[in-house]
Amino acid sequence: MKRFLDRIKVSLQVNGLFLELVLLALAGILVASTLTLVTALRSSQKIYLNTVSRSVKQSLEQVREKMDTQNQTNAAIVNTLRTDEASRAYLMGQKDSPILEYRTMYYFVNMLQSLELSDESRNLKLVMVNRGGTIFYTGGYSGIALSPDRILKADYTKQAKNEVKKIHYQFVADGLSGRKEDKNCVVVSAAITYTLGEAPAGYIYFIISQERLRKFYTALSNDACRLMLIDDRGVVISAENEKLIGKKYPDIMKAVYKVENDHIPFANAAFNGAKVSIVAEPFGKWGMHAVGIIDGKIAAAMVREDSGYMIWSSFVSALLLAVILFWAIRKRTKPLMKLVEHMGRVREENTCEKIHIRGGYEVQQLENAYNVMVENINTYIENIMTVEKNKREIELSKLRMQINPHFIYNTLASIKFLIWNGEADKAAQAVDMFTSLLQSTISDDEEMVTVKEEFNNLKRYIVLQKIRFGDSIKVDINMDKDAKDCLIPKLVLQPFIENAFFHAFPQKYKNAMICVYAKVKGECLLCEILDNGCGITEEQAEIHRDTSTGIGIANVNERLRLMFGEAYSIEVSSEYGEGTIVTVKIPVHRERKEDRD
Amino acid sequence: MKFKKIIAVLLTAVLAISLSGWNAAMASSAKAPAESKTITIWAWDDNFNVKAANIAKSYYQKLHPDVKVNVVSMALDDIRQKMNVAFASDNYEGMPNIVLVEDYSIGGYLKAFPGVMRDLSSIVKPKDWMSYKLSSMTVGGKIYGVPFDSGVTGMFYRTDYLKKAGYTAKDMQNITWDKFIEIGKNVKKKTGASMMQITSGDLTLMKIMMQSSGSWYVKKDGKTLNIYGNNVTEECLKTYQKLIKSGIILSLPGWDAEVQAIQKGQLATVVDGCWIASTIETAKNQKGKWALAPIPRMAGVKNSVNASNVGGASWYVIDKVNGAKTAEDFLKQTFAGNVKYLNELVQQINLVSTYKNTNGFTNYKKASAFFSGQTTFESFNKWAAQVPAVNYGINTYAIDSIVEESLQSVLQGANIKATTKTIQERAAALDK
Repeated sequence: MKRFLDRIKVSLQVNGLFLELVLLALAGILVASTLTLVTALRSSQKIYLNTVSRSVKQSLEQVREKMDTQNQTNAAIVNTLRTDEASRAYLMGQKDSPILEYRTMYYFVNMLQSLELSDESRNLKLVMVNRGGTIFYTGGYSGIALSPDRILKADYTKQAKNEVKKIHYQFVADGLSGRKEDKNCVVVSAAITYTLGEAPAGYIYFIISQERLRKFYTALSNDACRLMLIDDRGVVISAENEKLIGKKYPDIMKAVYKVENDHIPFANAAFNGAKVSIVAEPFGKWGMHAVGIIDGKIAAAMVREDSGYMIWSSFVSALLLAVILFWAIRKRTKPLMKLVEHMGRVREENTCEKIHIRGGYEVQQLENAYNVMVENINTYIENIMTVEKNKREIELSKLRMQINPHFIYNTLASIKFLIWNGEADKAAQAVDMFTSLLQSTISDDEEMVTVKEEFNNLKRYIVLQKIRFGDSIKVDINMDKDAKDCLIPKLVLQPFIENAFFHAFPQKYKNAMICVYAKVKGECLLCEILDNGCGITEEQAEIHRDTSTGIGIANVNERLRLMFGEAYSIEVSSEYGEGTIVTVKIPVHRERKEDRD
Repeated sequence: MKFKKIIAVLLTAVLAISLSGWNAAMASSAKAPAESKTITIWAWDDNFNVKAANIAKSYYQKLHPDVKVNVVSMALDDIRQKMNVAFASDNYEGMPNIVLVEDYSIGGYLKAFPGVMRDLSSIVKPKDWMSYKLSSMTVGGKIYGVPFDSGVTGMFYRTDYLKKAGYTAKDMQNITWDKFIEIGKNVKKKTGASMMQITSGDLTLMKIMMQSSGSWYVKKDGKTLNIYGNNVTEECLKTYQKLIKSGIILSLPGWDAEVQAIQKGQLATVVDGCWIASTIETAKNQKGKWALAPIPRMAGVKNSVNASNVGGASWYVIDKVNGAKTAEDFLKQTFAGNVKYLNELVQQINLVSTYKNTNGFTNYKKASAFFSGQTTFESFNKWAAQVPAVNYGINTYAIDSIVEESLQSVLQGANIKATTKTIQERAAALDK
């Protein structure tokens, strides 16, 4: 888990620039599209209301036209009744011959029937009250008697009496009869006068039923916009919802007047606790207004419906833009990322490689600069390395040169010893051995040889030493099969064997023995030189440091350090009187070629 | 690529669904509809016709609980208009299975739209019903309707007014119109009340007089006009003239005014169909002051009887609306001779049936306290049997208007024979 988080952290670091750019771009897109959306939605709500109110206005104009037609019919009926002879005779209650009476009635009824020909006048309940208080009515009131008193005392009669020429319209909750079928109707009333200045001969009434009032607008009304008729005081005269009729809405009325007087498409108002927009059309002749109430909720829902499309389209275009931006930024930053990554590797792996990336102008320039720099650095490093190598080689050869004379002295001393003893044969053999040893060590310039070769050299050396010290010290040389071809610096083990010969057995020892053994352990080549001699104490070790063998061991130490750095070790463990073990540990190298590089 | 695949899959799915839906729709529309178990009835007048239909519904649903019956109350004008539109366009959608049609109007429908109404000969036997009722719904020997209410007429009279004028019940039996005018004059003189009313725009009296004389605007074939050269028509116009001239008539402008006049006690008699009884009964303070006698007959016509008919309607099945068989069965179990049911209607809606055999009509025997203890149903039933059968033809109401208009000139002294000629000419033009 932690590793995973670390990886994320790293990748965030690596892609930081890219992410930053992408986030910035996304934020920009988000802000821009949100702003556009909000603006569009707001204007779309406004456009919606404007459009709806315009169509509602048209509907209301249609309502007004229907009311106009009704009004014309009403006026025609009133006019006919005012001027018609039969009607006059009926109203004046003229008593002539029975035949004339019958004929009057016939023409009167005929006239009424002819009035009923148009849609606007069919089923109108016509009521006439004549001077004598006799009431006459048609249609729908069968079985009951209308009370002339009730009608003559009502407001609508008073209005007709005050303004005899005018046709009056009034909303009456209980109608002419007070019966169910008259409920919430508009009573049309007019006076009939035959002689100016005299009291009216009678009154005409008819009823525009609630059902008929509704017919003016129901077909044009819908859920989004409810139409209704409202009078000058703000009282609802006709509405599809029965409960609203007769209620007063001053707030709506305010909006109605605002719309009508300011000639604006709509005005806002509160209606039964809901926010609505009002469209209105006055109908002055009836003292009424056709009103459209646009439901704010439905308007909002309509806009929401539209906005779904808008939100989708802006979402899709934002997404598309984001993808394009992502791609563009990616394309620009990717070479940069590569460059950064590459440079990071330089730090981590200490390698300086040229880079080949494709990208924009800036990246190309960076690449060129980087590559020139890398080239320069590489040249410098190569130079330094060559110098260093040369230096080391010089040092190594110097050290090797140090050994050789020392060894030569000792051997020559040994040969001299042989000659002194008169052992000419042995001396000759020793000179042979010495010659071949010198050949392999000094003449051959190689620094490293295989363990096998080294051990051969050691054997020659041991022969030489034996000549000097006699056969009392037994030497056993052994190596593991896989150690056979391992490489080892020349004459590295020789000083330790020399040391054993010279110092391990100061007295005559029974079974004096030196073992040399080489083996591979893991990545290391181990070479052990054991003896069962006297061992050395700390003081002795100090004393020996500056002796010839001491110089030899220090020399080995220095050579190994130069060749392997810290990757080697020389351990000496000794127990006084028991013997000494020297372990030389160096990295395994098998081929000469490798060594050279 | 994957995206394309998804779109393709979606498109195929949509196509498959819509195609299968279309197939299903095609399959269902191809099937012939099964006989509907729901029937609809249209009628006007909630207190009479609609009430009768609703009682029939409860009778029928006891027998057939699986059948749904819708009784719709509708204004007579609306029913007429809807029938005209549907029949003329041959589109019966939204039309009822059973419809009530006035006897004066049915002839027009049967003639103009043959095959629309179902032949009900199998459930209506001529021997069971009064022949005057059957004649309007019989075409080519086939009976297309189930007779409902009788329009048999009677003369209701105020006993108190007549007593004041010196007349008893005996004086009112089987009189002529001349006698009626004579009594009327005395009544007017003694009480100030008019003998009867005539309502403008409604030629009830003309129809009563014609049918009591066994004659109509057309001959028995329902086609040939029978106005000019018909003694009955002339006598009717003459009687009208005499009645109005005598000054015993109250001229009224409409039905409402007539009701008012009865309630106000302005009339000594009402000569009308039996159904007027329930209207008269609304004047509760006049209980016991009314009695019933046969209508006057035409003195100038030999065959004239003291019985006639006015109005009345019958039930018809629209054959082209699904459920016609069920509708026929509905009528068979109820209106078409279920005596128990019809007898209940006598009590519930004061029905005077046109069913001949009155053995099961126990409610007919009840005496009416309002009409001076008379058994009015029995009287009506007796008179109904005497009503001469006539063929109403197809233009009764249209000719009514012409006659009423012509009557005005007769009243001003125009020659009656010449007037009948004009009427006949104008009536002949109606069919053109």
